[in-house]
Amino acid sequence: MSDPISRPTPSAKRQILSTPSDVWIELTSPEGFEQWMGEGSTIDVSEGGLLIAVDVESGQPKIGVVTEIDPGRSLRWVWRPLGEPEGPTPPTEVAIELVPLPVDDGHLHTLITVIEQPSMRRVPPLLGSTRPMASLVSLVR
Amino acid sequence: MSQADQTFAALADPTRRTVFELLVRQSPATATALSGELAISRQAVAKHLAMLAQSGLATAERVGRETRYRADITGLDQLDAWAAEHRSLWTRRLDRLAGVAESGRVVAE
Repeated sequence: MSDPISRPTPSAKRQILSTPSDVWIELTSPEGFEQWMGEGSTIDVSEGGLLIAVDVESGQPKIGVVTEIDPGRSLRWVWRPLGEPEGPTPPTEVAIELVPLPVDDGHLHTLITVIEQPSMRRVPPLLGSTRPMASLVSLVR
Repeated sequence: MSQADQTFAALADPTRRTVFELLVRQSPATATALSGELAISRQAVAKHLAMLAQSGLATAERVGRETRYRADITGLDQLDAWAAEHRSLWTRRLDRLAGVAESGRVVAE
């Protein structure tokens, strides 16, 4: 056992037959995000931007904050189930990375990787908070 | 909080992860012994070890005046189940994202 901690790290990886810039648009645009995450989901892709995710399968809403953005390349956020301000479920951090994959015909496809793992960062306790974004960012740092 | 959540919360702390990794390699060990290899106090290591034990990632045995801890990697099974569930969720999310991105709906950046 060389690295016991690596065992629980969940991840998913997939090749998408579109360019990273096109995948980024669908990943982060309000319309695209709602389509792949679930109806009612919203994301403000700015540092400290709020994210509400309603999983299309479970219907379980989550609230989160965008923590890092590298347009076209990577996106990170911290989220937790909505309605559990102090737990019991700890927040997790989601890291999404897009890597261009050259294909034979000269076009680019995309390798997208997602890692979700425990986070020590806090997530804003209330949906619809009147706190300015800057103070929301301070809550997760 | 479920056992998986406790395990999850325990390993969310990077210092505690380091303590756990060290314990995996050196079981059994005391807080004093581990603190000698880490740049943190014996008291801090003792708290991390107690949290690991509470989370099912270590067992504690009192021997005389000291407490010896052993890593219990079966505690990671809870996280394996969590990981499998979330891997499945993300696989389906990426399938949906691919469906949207490959449909040609995007016309301009």
